[in-house]
Amino acid sequence: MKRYIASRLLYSILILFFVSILIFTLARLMPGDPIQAAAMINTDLANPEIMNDLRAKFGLDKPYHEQYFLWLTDFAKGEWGDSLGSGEEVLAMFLRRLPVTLELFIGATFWSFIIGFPFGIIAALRRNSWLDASLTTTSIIGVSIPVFWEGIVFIYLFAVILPIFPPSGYVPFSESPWENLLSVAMPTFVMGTQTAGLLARYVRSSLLEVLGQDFIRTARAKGLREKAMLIRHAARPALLPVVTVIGLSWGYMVAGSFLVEYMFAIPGLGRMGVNAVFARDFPVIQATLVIVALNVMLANLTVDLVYGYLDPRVRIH
Amino acid sequence: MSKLLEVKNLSTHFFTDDGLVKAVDNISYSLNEGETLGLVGESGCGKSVNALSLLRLIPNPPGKIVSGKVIFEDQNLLTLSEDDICRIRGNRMAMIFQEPMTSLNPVMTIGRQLMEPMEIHRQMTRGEIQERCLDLLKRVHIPEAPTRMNAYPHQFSGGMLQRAMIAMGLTCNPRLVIADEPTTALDVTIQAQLLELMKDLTREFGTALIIITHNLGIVARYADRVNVMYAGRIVEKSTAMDLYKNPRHPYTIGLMASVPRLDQDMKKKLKPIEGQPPDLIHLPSGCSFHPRCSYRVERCLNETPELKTVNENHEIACWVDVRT
Repeated sequence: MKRYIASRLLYSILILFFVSILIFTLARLMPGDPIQAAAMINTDLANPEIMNDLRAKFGLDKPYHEQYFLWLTDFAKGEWGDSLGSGEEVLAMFLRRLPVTLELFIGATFWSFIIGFPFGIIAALRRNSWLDASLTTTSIIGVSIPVFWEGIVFIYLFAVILPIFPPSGYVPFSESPWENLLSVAMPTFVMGTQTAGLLARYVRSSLLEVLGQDFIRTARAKGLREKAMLIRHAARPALLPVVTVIGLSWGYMVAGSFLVEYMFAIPGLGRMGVNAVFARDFPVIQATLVIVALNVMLANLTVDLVYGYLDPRVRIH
Repeated sequence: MSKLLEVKNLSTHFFTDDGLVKAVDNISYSLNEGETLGLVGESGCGKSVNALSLLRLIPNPPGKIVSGKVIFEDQNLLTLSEDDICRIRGNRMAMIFQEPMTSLNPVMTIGRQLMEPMEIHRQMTRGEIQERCLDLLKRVHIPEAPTRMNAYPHQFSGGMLQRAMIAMGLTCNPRLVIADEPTTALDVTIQAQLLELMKDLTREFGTALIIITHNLGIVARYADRVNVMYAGRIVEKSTAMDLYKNPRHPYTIGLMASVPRLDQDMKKKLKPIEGQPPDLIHLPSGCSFHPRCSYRVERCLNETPELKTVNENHEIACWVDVRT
């Protein structure tokens, strides 16, 4: 198991290195640079000389590979630079917004679990019934709905027509727990919808496959009641493919958080990223992308470890 | 000897998209305490479905036991509640499956799976159960039993897994063990070992045994009585001795002729049964075997023969007496 963990970690670090190159290059490939972007807003800067001075000040006149290594070493040291827009330290911006986005992620996962698992399990146990058909159809709809559309419809239905939830904004938990929950209820649901549908589909097919296995028949032949058989024999093997899906969707949720935070005006990392892209704020864009990559990587690492825990065939040779 | 099991007019059908499959069609037989019954026939003849029907383990849908009675220890298993049949399964009547590689849960230790039947059916402490399981593992010749209890199925060889399966079937000291092709996945030397082992253990505990197989050699050696099945029906019923000396049904005769025997001239060619196994959805009219039968008469095409007694321990379902 130790060797398994070590090899997974090594892989992750290697991947992160290549991703960092990609991220750096991508940011440079965007047309225009931060100074130009700033000059469009503040016309005082729209002078080639001033602009060149500014470029020199931020090191933007250096060759790309020098810029890259400078950024990489600084980033590793925790010096993420200052935002070119606000001048604030990027690390501080990140730390301030992290809890907000984390709350959205946890909330979205919560919704997807309490919807996805029961839907999938019931559909599998009542296979080919009308209940199965309607649950499966609902799941497909959940997977297919675009996040931005669902967000708008939800705001219209549950904030405008039925004013239960605030249409946008975010109240920190420390300020008012109740209002905090109200403010994240809709965004997290919207963010978790796709994963919920995906989970339901995977739980159903995975459970059905396991229930058709020989060892389930063995378990029944021992005299296990249906419920005990499901919990003791079917649950763990059925979870294996589902864990992978959860990990993947945790990675994909980043995209959801970009949209949702923008739509619901939530001051999280996604919104920070979107704003940074519009402002060509290189340090913030790069930091955001590294965080996105890190998140995907950590999700995958967790999946690998959970897999090892669940399946002895991975752990013991 | 008292009667342990009586199957009366059992029919199990599968309702598939392509049509109705009468996997088991109106069969009757009985079994005494401590007796060993062989159930023989080619793949798809209904022998496994018959065994699964006894414990009501037929996957439904598409399968369903449509009629009949399974009287076991004086109660009809087919009318029991789900709870009551669970009390019989693995306790009074146990099953040993083929394919030990897939019949054990890959993510559970052998020990936990072995202890499960007793945890369900016996009011014993964990320590007592563990002790009995260790003892059983030793009885089925698994070395280093205490460490093996913590091993997972993928760490066992096929032969060891099948031994563990046998031990699992015997944990609650059942009155009847059904072994569904218990040795098909194993090589020949291991097969012999395991069958000896199973025979010894069942004899010692006075357990009745149903061996399902397509291997006539196994039946000859281990069974007291034999039911030969073809296309969901029993076509010949006899003591093992009598069956081997005087097979009376054309299908049995064909089966015997297609198996090599050490006491025969090695140069003699084996005689296969002509034709293909029947299509279970579109069974031939009359006797299902008639298209492949060399003794066929006019009547076989139209009328299905029922079992009839030919002597005190021999019954066949055939219109022709092949000995004349």
